[in-house]
Amino acid sequence: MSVFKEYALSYNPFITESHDFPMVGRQRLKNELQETLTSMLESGGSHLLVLPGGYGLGKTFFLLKTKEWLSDQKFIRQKAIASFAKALPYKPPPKYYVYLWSKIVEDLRFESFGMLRKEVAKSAKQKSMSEDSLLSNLDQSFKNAILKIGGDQEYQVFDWLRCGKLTSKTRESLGITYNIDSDDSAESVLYEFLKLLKLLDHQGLVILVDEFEYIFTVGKAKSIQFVVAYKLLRDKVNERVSTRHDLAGLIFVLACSPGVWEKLVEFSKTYEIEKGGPGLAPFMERVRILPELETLTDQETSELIESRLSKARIPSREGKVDRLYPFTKKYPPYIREKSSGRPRQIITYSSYIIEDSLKLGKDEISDDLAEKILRERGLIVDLVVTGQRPEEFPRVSGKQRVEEVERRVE
Amino acid sequence: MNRINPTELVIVPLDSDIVIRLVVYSERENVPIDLFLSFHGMLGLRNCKASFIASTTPKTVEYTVRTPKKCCFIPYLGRVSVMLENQTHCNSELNPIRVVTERDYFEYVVCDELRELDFVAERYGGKDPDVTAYHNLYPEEIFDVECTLESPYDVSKFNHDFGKYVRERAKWNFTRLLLVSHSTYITPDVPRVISGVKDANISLITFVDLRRLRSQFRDGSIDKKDVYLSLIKRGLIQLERGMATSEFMAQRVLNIAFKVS
Repeated sequence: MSVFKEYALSYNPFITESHDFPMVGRQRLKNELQETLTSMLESGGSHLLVLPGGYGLGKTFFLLKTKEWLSDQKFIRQKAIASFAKALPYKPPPKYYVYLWSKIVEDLRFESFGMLRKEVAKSAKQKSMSEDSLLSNLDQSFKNAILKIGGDQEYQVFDWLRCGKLTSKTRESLGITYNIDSDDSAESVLYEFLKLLKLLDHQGLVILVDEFEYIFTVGKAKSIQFVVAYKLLRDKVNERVSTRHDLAGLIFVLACSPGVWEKLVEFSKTYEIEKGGPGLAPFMERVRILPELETLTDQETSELIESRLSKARIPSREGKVDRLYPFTKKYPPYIREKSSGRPRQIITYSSYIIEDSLKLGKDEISDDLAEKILRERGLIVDLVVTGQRPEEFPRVSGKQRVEEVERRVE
Repeated sequence: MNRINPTELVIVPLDSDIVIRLVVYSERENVPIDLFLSFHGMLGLRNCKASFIASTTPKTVEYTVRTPKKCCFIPYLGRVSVMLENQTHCNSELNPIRVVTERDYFEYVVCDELRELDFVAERYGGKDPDVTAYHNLYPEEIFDVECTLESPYDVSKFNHDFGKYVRERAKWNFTRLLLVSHSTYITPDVPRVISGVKDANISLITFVDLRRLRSQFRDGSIDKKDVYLSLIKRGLIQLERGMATSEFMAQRVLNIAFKVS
């Protein structure tokens, strides 16, 4: 039995990074997102949405929850598929569309393609036509790949879809003529996928892009290239939708820290002036910004802590101890204040506090004890009045400030 | 990183506390940091320093500053410099600050509450309306919002607010008057007088009920339309559910996060 049994818990409830906890608060943002996605999917075409949220406010968690909600038709009326991807891997990819498409496929997983394959069979049956005729408007290779799902070679198909390199012999056996190894082929396959969704009456694909701000850490030219990639995809989908009406909608939800977004707005203006040409402005004009992720209130902090504790609570002690136990009622407002209402910090600090309190043999965790632990751990740092005159402090010249901003953008 | 060099103006009441909370974290472990905090000269405060080891677990550096006892504008509260190995890693000026009286501060707070409720609101104050607002869904209805700190809210106070509304309504195209009383003590004759006014749409809400409305809106139990319908109810608006407090002079907290790499 875990040492946490002293607190009627099976394990430290704050140590897990799992995203399957219920979301606390954010109801207003959820409602706004629901309205926006519904109207965007209804109108069709492609859209760009930005979800601003500061450090540790739960952008990733909100995106993952959005993915979960989108699989439930109570959230939006329309049929839509959602996929989660990080904006950038550890190293900037040489072919951005290849990277993005491979991440979309990996996140959709084999099961989603299997489900779409079943929908093809069902739809063909309903329309009393062959599966081949139903998909006749799709590119031959993509069509063959989809039709092979469920057969002996389905894992090879999935490997091809996620931009794996197949030998010409394998491709031949699958009826596929190319590998998805260039930005052009990745882009084409994405359009084919949107065509397939349209044929199966899905209103769209929602791509939830996390850590969008990291795009601005790879150097000006490269970051503009990546940003423009989104804008071009959006424009091309809209062009096709308005002329050929054969694609389902494509919505990007880009999670980004607000500071970086504000700098990007500034940067897009100066870039235009310095370099000429459209720069980032066309992208910025096409973006719709969602309300910023808010910090948690005292009540929401309390709910966050309770939900974590409840998951780790020893079943036999459920209902016999207070929902907040071992924390006292004063703990949630205290930890909210010290963590500035940032969920990530609340969870990290609580993890240390519960561990150290156990080591100290305390029966319950008050705000005073938490303060003592955080100070001993060096997580709350005291400022010392130095009495130094301002000129003895590091001074920042105007030039340094400009350099600083540029360095950050780079 | 959160906002660096934030330009958002922070309104604070005079002789009150502002908590500066800096969160410093790093992508790697064991990064020695010197953090300097120097204040704007108008505050007459001595400068501070903290030396610590940054890591992936965020460290919280906190400092409380007392605002001046006179109304004034401070271009920036202070400047934070983070140094790594005696080299300036990053600098950030803290927000510009406007120090106002308690009465003016209450008007700003009401204005913020209305913005949270999806209104477009602007605080004017003085001889002008305290706050003008319209709801995003119904922009044709323009509210004159008059805010009152005095307790109790009685007929003479109502007459003063209503008189101001009558004088200003043509100039500002007001279609409604919303009275926000900080005091929950509304004398019984006020709702009666309001119902007797036939040619104006007047609503009265206590500040605590306005906060309740916001808490209901935030937790999703009511939507934008419900908010609007609640605030256009004639006479005294009363809410039963929702947690709220009438405290509006709480400490202002300036949060800023630094990532060092």
